[in-house]
Amino acid sequence: MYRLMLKDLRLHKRFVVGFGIAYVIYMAIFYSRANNPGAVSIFGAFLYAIIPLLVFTREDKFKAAAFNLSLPVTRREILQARYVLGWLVMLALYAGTSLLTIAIPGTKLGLSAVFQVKVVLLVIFFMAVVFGMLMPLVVAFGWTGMIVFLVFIQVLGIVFLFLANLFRPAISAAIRAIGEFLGSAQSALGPAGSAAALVVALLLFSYGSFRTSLFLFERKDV
Amino acid sequence: MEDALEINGLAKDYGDFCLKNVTFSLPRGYIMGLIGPNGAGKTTVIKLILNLLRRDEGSVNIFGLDNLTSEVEVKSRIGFVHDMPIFYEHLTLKKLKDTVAPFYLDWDEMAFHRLIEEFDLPLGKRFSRLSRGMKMKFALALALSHRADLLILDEPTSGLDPVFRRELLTKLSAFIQDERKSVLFSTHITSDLERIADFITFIHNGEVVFSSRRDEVLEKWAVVKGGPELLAEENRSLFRGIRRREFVVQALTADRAEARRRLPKDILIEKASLEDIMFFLTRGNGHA
Repeated sequence: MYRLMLKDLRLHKRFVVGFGIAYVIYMAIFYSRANNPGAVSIFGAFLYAIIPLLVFTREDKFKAAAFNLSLPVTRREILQARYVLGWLVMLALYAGTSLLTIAIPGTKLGLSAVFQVKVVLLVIFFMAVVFGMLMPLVVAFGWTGMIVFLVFIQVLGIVFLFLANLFRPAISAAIRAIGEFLGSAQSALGPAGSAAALVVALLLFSYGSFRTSLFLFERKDV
Repeated sequence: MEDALEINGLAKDYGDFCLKNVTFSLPRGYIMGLIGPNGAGKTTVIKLILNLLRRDEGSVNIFGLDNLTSEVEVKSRIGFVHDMPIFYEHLTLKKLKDTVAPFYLDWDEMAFHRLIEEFDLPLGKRFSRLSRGMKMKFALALALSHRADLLILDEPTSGLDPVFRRELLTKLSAFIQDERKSVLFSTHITSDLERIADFITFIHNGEVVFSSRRDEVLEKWAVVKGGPELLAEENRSLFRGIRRREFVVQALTADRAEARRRLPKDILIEKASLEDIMFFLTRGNGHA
């Protein structure tokens, strides 16, 4: 697995470092001017997940899948390496952005605001959701799969806004009900229990994503 | 001694193309040429051996190991050259080598540098800047540098100049000299195989037409030339492919001795080249 991660890093070093640094600076400036770390973090989490996925879609660009799969490695190992590397890149981007946010002069967010346990968990959870949902699509359809999904999300957003206008009371009630359910679950579990539940959900979701990706990858003809 | 490669009943259905019941074996220490026209299924067979495609049926054993259940071990012992050697084009040859080498426990750095020197390859140059011939040479250098026991080459000579083609064939002949290593070599340039192959497997429309020793093939198959009387009903069972012109008939037979015995003495019977065999079996009208 280590060799595979090293290979991907070596092949895409410039892309990861170049894109990563630019992105960390951009996000840190954006964060440092925000009043609501939670909302901005969720937006950031989405983008943190996209960067490693963009790296993996570069295999399409070089049409190197046949070469990679001819090496003495299994598809499972390739996928394991990609999940681990994906998480390392996401966490590195998140850590870099958070530290830079605090260091920017005149930042509105201090150490305690950026590293609130709730915010950190929420960011990691959203990273897991976006990365976990997109990874099987990238595995099965490559670059096209990711773009189609992103377009689908945009369309879904537009549809949601349209429906929200049409059925405002019903949708508000549904959102309120979900909020109340999560709120009552949180108070029933307590802060530690809620955090643990979130971590378990995250692990289960990531495992499900890995199994789905593996299922698709092992059936993929190159 | 176990076979280097043993394929049994291999099948793959693409919908518009189907590989059916492909069976052949390659003993250790020999070169096998996999021939057939474009689109016959040669690359599909090679991809199935390397597990790049999912097989529908059959088995592939390499040195007695299944290519799916012992994938890593099997691939460690295979050196591969794809028809279009596709690597990460933006990297230099040195960086590509540094990327590939850690995957092989038996990587031989000295052998790699010897080959690089022999092939006159510039290690500092980007892969994208190489000619097709140089790309092929580099792919071959990688394939030969990890002490592989089986070399699998998919159309390695197509688009190459005759000088390098000859060099490559010499290299392959040298590769099997220790009688433990083997080569599977797909091509539609049959003259290359007449020089070096020990075995020939001919694939057409996704099916193996024959898989035999080259000498046996060249000994048994023949082109028969004569007038329209050749097409007499009693002769037809001799022929595997027929080509008619106004006053001349040419036909391919898989049994030269039988043809000699049954046909009149004035009929010309010549040894068939692999190209003749491929031509008649794929284009010969009036198949008997």
